[in-house]
Amino acid sequence: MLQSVFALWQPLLSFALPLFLALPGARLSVPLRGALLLTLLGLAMVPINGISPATYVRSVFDDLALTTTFALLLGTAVRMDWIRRPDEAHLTGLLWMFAAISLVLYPATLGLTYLDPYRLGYAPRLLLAVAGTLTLALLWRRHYLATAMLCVATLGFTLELKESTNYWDYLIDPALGIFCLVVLLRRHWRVVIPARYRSA
Amino acid sequence: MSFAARPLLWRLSVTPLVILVFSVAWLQNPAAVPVSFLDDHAGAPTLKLSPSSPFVNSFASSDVDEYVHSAALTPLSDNSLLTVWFAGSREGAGDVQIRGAHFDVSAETWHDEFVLATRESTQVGLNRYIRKLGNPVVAMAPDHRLWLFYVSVSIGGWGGSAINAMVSEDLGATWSPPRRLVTSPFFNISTLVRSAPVFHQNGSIGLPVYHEFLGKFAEYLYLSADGEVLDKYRISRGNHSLQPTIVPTGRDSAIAMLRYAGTEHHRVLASRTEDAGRTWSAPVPLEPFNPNSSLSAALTHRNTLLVALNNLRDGRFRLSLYETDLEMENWEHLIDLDASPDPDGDPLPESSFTPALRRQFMASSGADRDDLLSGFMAEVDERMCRRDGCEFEYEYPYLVHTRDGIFHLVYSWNNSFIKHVSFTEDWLESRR
Repeated sequence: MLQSVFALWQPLLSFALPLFLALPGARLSVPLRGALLLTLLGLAMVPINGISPATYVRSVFDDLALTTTFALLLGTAVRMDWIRRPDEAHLTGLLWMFAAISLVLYPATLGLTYLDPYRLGYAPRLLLAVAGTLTLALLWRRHYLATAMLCVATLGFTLELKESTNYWDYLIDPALGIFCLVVLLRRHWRVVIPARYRSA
Repeated sequence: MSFAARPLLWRLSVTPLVILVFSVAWLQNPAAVPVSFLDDHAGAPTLKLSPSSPFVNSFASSDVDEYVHSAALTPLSDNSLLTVWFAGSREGAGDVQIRGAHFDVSAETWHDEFVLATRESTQVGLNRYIRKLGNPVVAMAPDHRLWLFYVSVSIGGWGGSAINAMVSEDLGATWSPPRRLVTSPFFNISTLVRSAPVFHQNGSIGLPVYHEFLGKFAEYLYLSADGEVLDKYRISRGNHSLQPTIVPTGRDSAIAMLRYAGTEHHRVLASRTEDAGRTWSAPVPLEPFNPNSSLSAALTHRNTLLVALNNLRDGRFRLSLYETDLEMENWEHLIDLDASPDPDGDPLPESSFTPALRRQFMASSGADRDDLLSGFMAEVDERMCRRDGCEFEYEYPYLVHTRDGIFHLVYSWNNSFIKHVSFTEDWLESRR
């Protein structure tokens, strides 16, 4: 039941919220921003050749992780002036955390070695112990946003909100991982790319 | 004073909640370690071959217009057989369907084929855009539920595949909607099925799968009896092995033979497990050649392996049956099931190809499919002939050994029909 409800709403959010956040709506008044958001949610449901844009997005990107959905909702709430933008240092910490996880997880899917960290997400007691410890550490270091994201992901896993039976799929998805890596690379490209390889 | 102004109190209050969230998840997800293999899951006896016909063959499919490929087969508990395959205007076309046919044991004939899944039915069931369908496999579980696993692609080529599962509680009369198996963290792409599932003693399912997005490697997907992914184990790594066919050889031991997709030795690969699929030895090349084509194996009554394969360096113009010991060191050729008249598989001019094809059709079709000959011959040019001539292809074998001592093999016959060959253990004894 919960999975069906989630499967219904999640594609709509996956289509509308990234577009809403990507479009330059900061100069619009709050009511106009709200109208834009509602329009995008409506567009997400309009069928093209019998399939809605939200379904197309789901077909390509699969169901987003709970953390990504949480982040998109948070970004939307900030854009709507419902809440204050989180502390920059905390956001940067999140970028590093998800970028690091994606670098551990995704290269292994290519099958270069027998090591497969994705396996840890099935029957994930070890992974839960690590994530739980990390979450408590983040809480006590006052990273409340990261704490909330990891708790929401874990709660979603317990409630089996997604088709996946793998805990990793609640914690991270490639879209979030790639986004974090790209943002960090843009910030630190001077460190990553040696000067002789940069254009003048 | 608010919580926000008293961070210590806030953190002390939230800490038990965090512990609760993770503890519930921890308690809800115990480890799922594969138990021993089930050594005999086949249902009631199926095909009653008479002593005078210990080796018979016929076409299971009946549509002469379409490209057919990648057949799988299972005995059912109602004393019949079900074979499934994919059919369409060409491989990868949007009109490809998953089709099936039942074998009537009393009449010893295949019924008309029927549609099990289409791109549209999969799209509706999964609530996703589906571009094309691919390999299906079918298996009867020990709890008498019938499972169909098949590949679908939403974007790109076969590297973008995912696996779907359908289950039937009434031997295939009705089916559940398809359900997506999530097997990869990267947009859940690049997992395919081809070979027969195996079962464990608690009813859990071992599904041989492979990946072909950048890397080409094999895995053992461990599913619950209800088809939920519990774990997966890597059989091979790298970029050179596909389509594992798994044969349990003991309580906890099994052999996986793999299609070789590399460029080095072009030989069949083999890997072993001694712990019911949890760990697999590094694959090693065996004696037979493998021209990057699917193969299938089954355990015999005399504790040897029967293997159907294209033992060729290149091409798929001859499909043969071999027997080997469990060490896979001594290989004995039993029979060429089908072969091009040209020993090297070179393209034939139409003048010699057409009569040869006609002869092979009559030898393969079975009495009930004889009348398809003229319709089939009218389609031949487009499907099998190119500018340099016409070619025979026999590929993608799928071999099953049922409890009553019959071996059933289905394979793609010139991508035009699904051919069914069955033979008894007595026939096998006579080949020694």
